[in-house]
Amino acid sequence: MITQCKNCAGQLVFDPAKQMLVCDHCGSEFRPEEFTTEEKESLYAQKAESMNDVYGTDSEEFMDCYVYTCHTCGGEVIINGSEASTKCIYCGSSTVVFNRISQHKRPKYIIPFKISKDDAVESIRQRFKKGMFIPKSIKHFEAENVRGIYIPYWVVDVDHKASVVVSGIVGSGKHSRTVYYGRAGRMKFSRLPLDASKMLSDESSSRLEPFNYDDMKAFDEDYLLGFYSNVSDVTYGDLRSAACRRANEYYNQIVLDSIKGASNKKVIASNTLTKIDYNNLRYAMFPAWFVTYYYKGKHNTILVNGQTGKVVCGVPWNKVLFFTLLAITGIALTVVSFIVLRPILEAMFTSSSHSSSSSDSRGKIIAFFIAAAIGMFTLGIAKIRKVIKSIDLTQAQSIFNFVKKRQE
Amino acid sequence: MGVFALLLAIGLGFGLACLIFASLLDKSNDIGNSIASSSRYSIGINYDRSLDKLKKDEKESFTIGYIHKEDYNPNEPSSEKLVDQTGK
Repeated sequence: MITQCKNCAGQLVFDPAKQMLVCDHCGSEFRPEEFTTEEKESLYAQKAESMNDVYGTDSEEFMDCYVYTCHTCGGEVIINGSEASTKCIYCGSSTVVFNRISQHKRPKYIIPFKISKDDAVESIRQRFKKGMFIPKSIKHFEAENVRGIYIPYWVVDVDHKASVVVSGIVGSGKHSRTVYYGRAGRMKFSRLPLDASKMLSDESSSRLEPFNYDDMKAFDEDYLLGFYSNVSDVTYGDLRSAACRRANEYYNQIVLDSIKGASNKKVIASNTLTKIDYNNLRYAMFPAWFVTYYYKGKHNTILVNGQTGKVVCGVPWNKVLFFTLLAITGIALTVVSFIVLRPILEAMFTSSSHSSSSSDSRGKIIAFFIAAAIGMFTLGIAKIRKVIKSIDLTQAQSIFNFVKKRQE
Repeated sequence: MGVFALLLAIGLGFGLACLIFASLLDKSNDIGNSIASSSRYSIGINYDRSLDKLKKDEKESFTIGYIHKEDYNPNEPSSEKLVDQTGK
C-alpha cells in the first residue's frame, strides 16, 4: 500500500478522534497532507475488472462484481460497481480503488470522520435508553456490523421557481369555509447536498443532515483509510429529480408557514421549475456510521452522522406495552370525560327555557361536542398511523442493502 | 342521555389518548426524523405574486403562465448520462 508508516512501513488508518493517520504497528501519527498524490499516481491506471471477464463466465450473479488487487498482499478483493474503498479479506488492509477516484472522477471535498466507531455505538445506546417503547433486547443490542462509510454527495446550487395554490380552513363549526391562497416566487439554494448513491434512499440520507461545511477539506485518498466508500452512480435525471423534490419540500413548507389564520393548509396545485447550476457542481464525500443488529428475524440498520453524531433510525416498538398503556389511559380519560360531560348534557336537555335562541345554542354546543369527539378520535388514529409509517421507512431493507455487500 | 354522554366521552377519551401516545411513540422510536432547516441553504422566497382569498377562476389560473419557455435551460445534460464534475 502506498500510504505506509514512514517509520515502520506499517498499515495506516485514519483516526477520527485524533484526525490523524495512525500506524497500527508502531502508533506513529501523520497528517494526511504529509503524503503526496504523486506517489499514488502509478496506481490510477489499475482498474477493477469485471468478475465475469476475469473468470470467463457469463453469470448474472456476477453482474455487479469486480475484482481488484490488494496493494499490500496481492489478494483479490471483490467489490461492487460503485465502491471506492474497502478492506482486503486476506490481510485486512484498507484498499482504495484509485482508478475510481482519479482525474475528473475525483471528489473535490471530503468531511473526515469525527465520531469514532465506539462513540457512534455509545451514542446509539444512550439514545435507546431514553426510548419508552424500545424493547429491552434492543436497548442492549449486539451490533452485528459497524461500518464507517463515506457517502458520495453532489453539493449543488439550485434556482427554484414555483407558483402554488394553497387551500386552508378559516373559521370553525358552522361558519368554517375553505379559502385559497396563491404564492408565486423564486427560491435560491446554495450548497444543497444531494446524495449520489442509487442504493441509498434520499429519505434516509437527508435525515443525516445537517453536515457542517466548516470541516470540509480538500479531498485526499488517505482519509478513506480504514473506511468504506462509494463513488457517485447517479444520472443527471436522478440529480434533477432529487433537487426538485428537496426544493419543492422547502418551498412548500415556507409558504404553508407564512399563511396565518387558517388550518388544514395544503398545496393543491403547483407549477415549478428547478434549475441546477451545472458549472458549479461539487463532488464530495460525507461520513456516516452504519450499525446493523438482528431482531426477530430481521436486520435493522442505524445510521449515525460521522461528523455530528446524529442518530437516525426507526426502532421496532413494544406493541404490548404501547397498546396496554393506551387502553388504560383511554379508559381513564373516558371516565373523566363522562363525569364532566354527563351533568352538562343533562342540564342542557332538562333546561326550562324553550326559546329558539337557547335551542339554537344547545344545538351548537352538542354539535361542537360531537365534532370534537369524532375529530379527536380520527386525528389520534391518523397520528399513530403516520408515526408507524415513519418508523417503517427508516427500517427499510434498502438501507441494509447499502451496507451489507462489503468485505469484512 | 347517559349513553350519548358515554359515546362522546369514549370519542374524546380515546382520541386524546391516541394523540398523547402517538407523540410518545414518535419521540421514543422515530429517531432523527428531521432534515436540515431551509435557512441553512437559502435566505427564503422572493415573492413575485402573493394573493389571498382567491376566487374560483383565479384559483384555476394562478399557476398557469408563471414558468416561461425562456426560463428553461436549453443546455441541460441528458437525463441518462452519469453526473460528472464537468456538468456536461
